[in-house]
Amino acid sequence: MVASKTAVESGVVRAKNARQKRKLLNEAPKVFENAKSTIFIKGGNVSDIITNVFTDLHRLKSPHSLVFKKKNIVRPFEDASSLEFFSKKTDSSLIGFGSHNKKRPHNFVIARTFDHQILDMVELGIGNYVALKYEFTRSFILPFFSPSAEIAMGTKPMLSFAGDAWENVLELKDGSKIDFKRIRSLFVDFFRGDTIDNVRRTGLELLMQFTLQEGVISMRTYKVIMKKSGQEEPRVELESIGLNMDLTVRRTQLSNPTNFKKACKQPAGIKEKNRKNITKDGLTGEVRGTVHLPSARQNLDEIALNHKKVMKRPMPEKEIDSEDEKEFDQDVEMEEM
Amino acid sequence: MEVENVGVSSIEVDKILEPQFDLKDLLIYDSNELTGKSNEYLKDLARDNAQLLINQIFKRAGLETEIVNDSVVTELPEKKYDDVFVQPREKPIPKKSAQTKWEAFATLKGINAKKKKSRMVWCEITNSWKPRWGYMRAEKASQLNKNGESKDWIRVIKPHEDPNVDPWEKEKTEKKERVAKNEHARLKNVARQKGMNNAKRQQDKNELRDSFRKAKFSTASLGNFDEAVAGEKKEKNGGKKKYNALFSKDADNESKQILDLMSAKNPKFNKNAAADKVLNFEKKKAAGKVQKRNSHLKADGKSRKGKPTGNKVANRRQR
Repeated sequence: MVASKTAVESGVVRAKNARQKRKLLNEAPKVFENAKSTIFIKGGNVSDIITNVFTDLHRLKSPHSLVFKKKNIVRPFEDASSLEFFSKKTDSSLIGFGSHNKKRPHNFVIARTFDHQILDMVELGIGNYVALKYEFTRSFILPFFSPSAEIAMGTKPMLSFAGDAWENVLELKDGSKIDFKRIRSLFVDFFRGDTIDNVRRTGLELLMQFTLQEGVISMRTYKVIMKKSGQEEPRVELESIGLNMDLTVRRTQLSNPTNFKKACKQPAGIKEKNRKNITKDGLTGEVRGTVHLPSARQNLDEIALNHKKVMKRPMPEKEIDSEDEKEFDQDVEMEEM
Repeated sequence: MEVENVGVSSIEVDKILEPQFDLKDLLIYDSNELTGKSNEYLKDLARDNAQLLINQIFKRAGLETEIVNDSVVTELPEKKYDDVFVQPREKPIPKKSAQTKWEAFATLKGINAKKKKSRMVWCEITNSWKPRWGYMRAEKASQLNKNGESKDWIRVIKPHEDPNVDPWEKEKTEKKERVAKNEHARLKNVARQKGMNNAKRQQDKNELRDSFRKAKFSTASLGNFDEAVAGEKKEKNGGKKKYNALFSKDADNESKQILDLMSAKNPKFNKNAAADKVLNFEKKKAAGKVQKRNSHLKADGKSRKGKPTGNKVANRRQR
């Protein structure tokens, strides 16, 4: 799979100003990548449900999300090249494509790209949709000052995948296979949001659960309420906030294992090297290291600890401030070893 | 906040199979069988899983915490890259670019990177801050008088300079040349980088076979009496070219095949081979090893050898 390089990427055509240069650098491959951006595209004919789902998901995923206003007649499973083009133009690697017709009502295709080429695609039928009741706001001072029906925009959701069917590969009547492990990975990619290093404990407000039963993925979203339990870990309670749907798995187009492995390759420096011989005392917070001496046998009797010549040299005269004289008198005399 | 039943049961959850956690992405994978479908069942299940996940984050995974702006912040552990949790990247891993010619020179000489120059510079003449480069830059501003007219309306020609040369035009053309030179140097750096990337591909099977063949042929006996290496195939040397029979039963099919090949939308064109050919040609040309194809002919197609063509009668007379 060789992605064609444009003149810009190869450096033949250069950026004309600083803004263009910044854009190029932002869109270039990096060791630590940007948050994956999503584009929501509507097909030739779209139902109300699809439109509402797009609005809700867009609110959930903002600011890393873009909804296309116009309809685009695309058949992803026949020819996904226009989706790839949109991915490249908007620098988004996650695509949500919605369409509605008699054969496939309330159709929702989730796709992800690698290097702007489609990697995995899943076609889902939306059923039992419940709209999002909560507002997503930009405010970060939330829990105390704003009404409770709000969650901060960009909150990283907790994701729960329940059911033993997620680990299996389902074989259909026509011989095709659905690898639910891969679909689970796709869902994680789609819903997990930005990569974060730290999380504020009170910021763990959003939970999304995906349960798989008989080829139907039930998605439920909740707000997490933490109550005192008398211990360090709080008692967790949930509140339904909408954004629920039952997704029937229709068609899939998953890349072969080699291509997937290629896409999963991580750069060399990313894994933190295991620092040996360093431990942190949980109680005192001290960082302790173990030093290994080159030879186990060291005869302390024979090692020169007594440097006579040096010890006999007179110490340099120090200028003592009259105010500090008392302090020096109290000094403990150095004993000769 | 209310106080729920104070006890161990309120935060404990029983699961048959231990769920798997990836705390960097706040994930919990619960492989236990589902025993219901109703929304109430799903909510209870979600609550249990959320409780397990929060237990891990708050205490059981042993994560570092600190207090930032009056809130407790937990440091999340590294992302797990094992089969279960690995996620594909958005774009391929960035390739290490080759050093530009200047960078190579700088590292050799030990020259460090320049300090960043400030955008604004104090202009003594106008007593104001002006940009160091670009529109209304300090240099140019000092060349304007009160009315904004250029002070550079007259230039004294030195004795060694040509009086017929327009100095302003000369400045403009020199600047254009400098810019073009810089662009050329940049393109050379780009080409060098591209060359580096291509050179890293491993030797093709065919290339290996070629080099093996050459090595064998370079012996005194042209490789005829060499011991065969394990897995070596006997080389087909020579033989006459087989021409198709003039009259054959399959004449229609053959001509059809030829027509298909000629009219095919995707011709049998090996891009890599063609690109390599071009690259090699460039290299050879640079090394001066390329002879013009028709070097035995002159530019006008006439032969170099022999007497010069033209008016032979006239030449005879001149002698």
